[in-house]
Amino acid sequence: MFRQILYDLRNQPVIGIVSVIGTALALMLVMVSTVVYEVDYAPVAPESNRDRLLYDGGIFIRCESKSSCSGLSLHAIDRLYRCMKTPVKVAAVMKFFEPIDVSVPGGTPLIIDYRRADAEMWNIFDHTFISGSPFTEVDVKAGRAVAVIDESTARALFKTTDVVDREILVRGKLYRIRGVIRDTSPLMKWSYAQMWLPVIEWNTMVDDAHTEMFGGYGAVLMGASPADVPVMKKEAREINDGYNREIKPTGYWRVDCGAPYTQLELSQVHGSNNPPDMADYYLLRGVLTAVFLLVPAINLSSMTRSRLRRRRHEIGVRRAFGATRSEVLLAVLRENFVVTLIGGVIGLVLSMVALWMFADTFFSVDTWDIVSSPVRVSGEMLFRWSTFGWALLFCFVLNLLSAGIPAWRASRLNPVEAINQVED
Amino acid sequence: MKRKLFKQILSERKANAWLVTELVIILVVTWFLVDLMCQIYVPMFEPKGFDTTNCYKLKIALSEGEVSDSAVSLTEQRRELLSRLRHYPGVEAVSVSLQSVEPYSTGMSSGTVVDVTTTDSVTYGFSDDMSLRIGYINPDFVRVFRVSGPRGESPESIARMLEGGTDRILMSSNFVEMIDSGLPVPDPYSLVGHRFMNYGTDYSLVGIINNVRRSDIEPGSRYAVLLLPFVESDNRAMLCFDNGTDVAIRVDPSADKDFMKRFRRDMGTHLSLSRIYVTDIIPFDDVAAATMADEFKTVRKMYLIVGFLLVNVFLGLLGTFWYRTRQRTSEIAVRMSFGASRASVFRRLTSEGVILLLIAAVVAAVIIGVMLNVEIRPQITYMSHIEVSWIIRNSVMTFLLLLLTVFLGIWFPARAAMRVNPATALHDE
Repeated sequence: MFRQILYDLRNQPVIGIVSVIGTALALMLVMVSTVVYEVDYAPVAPESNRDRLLYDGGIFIRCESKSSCSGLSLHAIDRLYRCMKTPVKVAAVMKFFEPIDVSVPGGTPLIIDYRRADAEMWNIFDHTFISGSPFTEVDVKAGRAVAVIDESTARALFKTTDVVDREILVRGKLYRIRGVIRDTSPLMKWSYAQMWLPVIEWNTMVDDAHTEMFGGYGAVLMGASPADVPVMKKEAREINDGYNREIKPTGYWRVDCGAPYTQLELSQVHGSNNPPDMADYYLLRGVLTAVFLLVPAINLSSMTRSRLRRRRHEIGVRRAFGATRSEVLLAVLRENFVVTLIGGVIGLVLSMVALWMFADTFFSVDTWDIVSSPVRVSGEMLFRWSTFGWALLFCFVLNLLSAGIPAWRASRLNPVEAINQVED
Repeated sequence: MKRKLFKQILSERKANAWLVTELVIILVVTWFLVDLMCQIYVPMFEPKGFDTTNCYKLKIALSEGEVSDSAVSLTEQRRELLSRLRHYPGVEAVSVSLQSVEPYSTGMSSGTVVDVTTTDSVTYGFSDDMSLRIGYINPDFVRVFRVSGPRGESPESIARMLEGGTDRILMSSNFVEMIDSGLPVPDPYSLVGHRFMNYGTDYSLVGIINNVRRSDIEPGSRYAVLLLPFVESDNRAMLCFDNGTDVAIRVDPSADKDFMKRFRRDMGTHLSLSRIYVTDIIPFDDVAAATMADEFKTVRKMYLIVGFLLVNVFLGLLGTFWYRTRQRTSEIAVRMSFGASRASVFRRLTSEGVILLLIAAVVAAVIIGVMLNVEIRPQITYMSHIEVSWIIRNSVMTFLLLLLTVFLGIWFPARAAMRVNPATALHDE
């Protein structure tokens, strides 16, 4: 069988090569688009618990004549989420990372991305500690100046990662280092930071109604299992309704934008005052996959047709010598599957190379600021068995679509006509 | 000859049907991708209303550490830093603004403004398609970002207009389009000198400016801008200086070489007061790149998809025509031995491809027409309304792209076929 395929390739190199390139390109594009989409919601460390997390990063309060939207304050997280019964953990995390200047006392300052969080954050996201430990609830409550920094920052400041209990100047204030974590990628929307500091009271609005609710934080809710997600959503909505009843006399209400969001919804949220548009998202992904699948399938199928037409004679002889229709059908499908598979493997390799080389183009970091860390992609983000499974399935469907019809037609050839080269 | 061409296309109708189907899908998808790319690129060629060459964004922060000298108040330190920046060698002007009116800012504050000069006050700002961006600026903002007027008013003359008082505001000329529905749209210049009310304070409109856009890619037709005064002598306003304001400087072009290096060196000493200091200086090119990163990534992804589709068209045509020309080698040979030139044979083959493309284009046009007229339009294009010129532009660009690919896809097999010696080809027969 392989000999047949090799012979075929040698005999009609252009068509063979074109089929392989076509498949490789199609698979590459599907893989790239799948991985790009998956980075937003697939469980990857330090966000390994993504399937049981819910997020709320914004509060939108309005009355008839005006409206304000911003992140949540610590008070808002207490009022709206910490009182919930279903979540096993609720953390307050600074919604966006921000640049800040740090230095070793007396040294030159370095601009890095930092975030504030409470101690619960360390239980929801699984950062890897190289040395030291996270800051604790006691640290946060006491307002201690402690920090957790990442590996690259430790090296840039001290040339070593063994820096627990050393002191750094953060915006002119001394902080004690509690621990050093592995570098995280800015693609991890809520768990990326080069330095973590404990939360402080932070209100973003002044002279506005219900200012106590607006801050720079977001809430992360973790359920005991993925099954808790809908329960948490329902409970959060009830609490929100209760809050709206409470502030009704002031003429204001909190607009329900569908928060708290699942990881997938979160990737489609733009701004604090727009609900995510999931229909759009699915439409776009569906159309993309369909186009990526359909266009090469049509191509390959006309190529298979051409190939088979040159082999009508041979198929006729096979049928005349007793090959059954299903045998011919299977033979054609099998041959085609090998070509698809070769293209698929090339495409898979190409997609990994492309994703790794052009990570900066394919993946968007959720910020408008200048990011201090490079956009790193880990092996875990690029290659996951599920993605590989999708790629295989894609190859299979592509093969069925492109070879199915020509193969079926070939199997129904009348041997006599085929041998005599009668045009169909 | 023409009849023969059609006859040939018809005889290959099955293979051709596949090609046409593929071309239709690709034409439709490419059309919408071209549309999206144009929506992003076209505003880049429209006037921005600001200029950030030789400009830098400064980050200013309060030290959170212990202070040794509490003799100098924080407000004084804020003014001192501002003054040191103004006198720093090479700095032409220092802009201080609030509420994200600085170019490439990502936030946006919007609201309404009421003309209270006449007895029946007129409100501007309630509109479905536009919003009124409101921000606070000092007069230097106009100098730093080179904001000019529609009648050719220079940045300097506009800045001078503002400097005469603390209640002076500017509005972009298109704000009049946001007038209360039903009222006639006035000439913006006729409103200069009117009193306007915003959030309980009233101001005097002293000048009309060109719209200051948010970035290179967001069309300015979506908003107008209202610039309220940021008064540096007001202690309460200065509270925001290190928390919420955007600070930017314009550097004299002759001093701009090595400016960053020099400035960074002095940041820790001369530009660092006991409580307040400059933490970072960023060229506006970097700010712009970060703000527009998403859009440019989108465009690059679209290049990738369009590229993929075109390569597929190319491969499809290459494969099909390869087979077809090989089958027809003898026909081509006969033609050539009877004196047909290479060009005429090539023309014949490509006209086959072009006819297929034209058939596909008609079908694709119908599909695009239907898609543009149903509800999903807003999801697949940025078009807020259908403009004939856009549709023509997209269609021409898409068609040309595909035409080029069709030529390339046929050229390779045709060349190979024509290389065959007529005698050899006919001998096969």
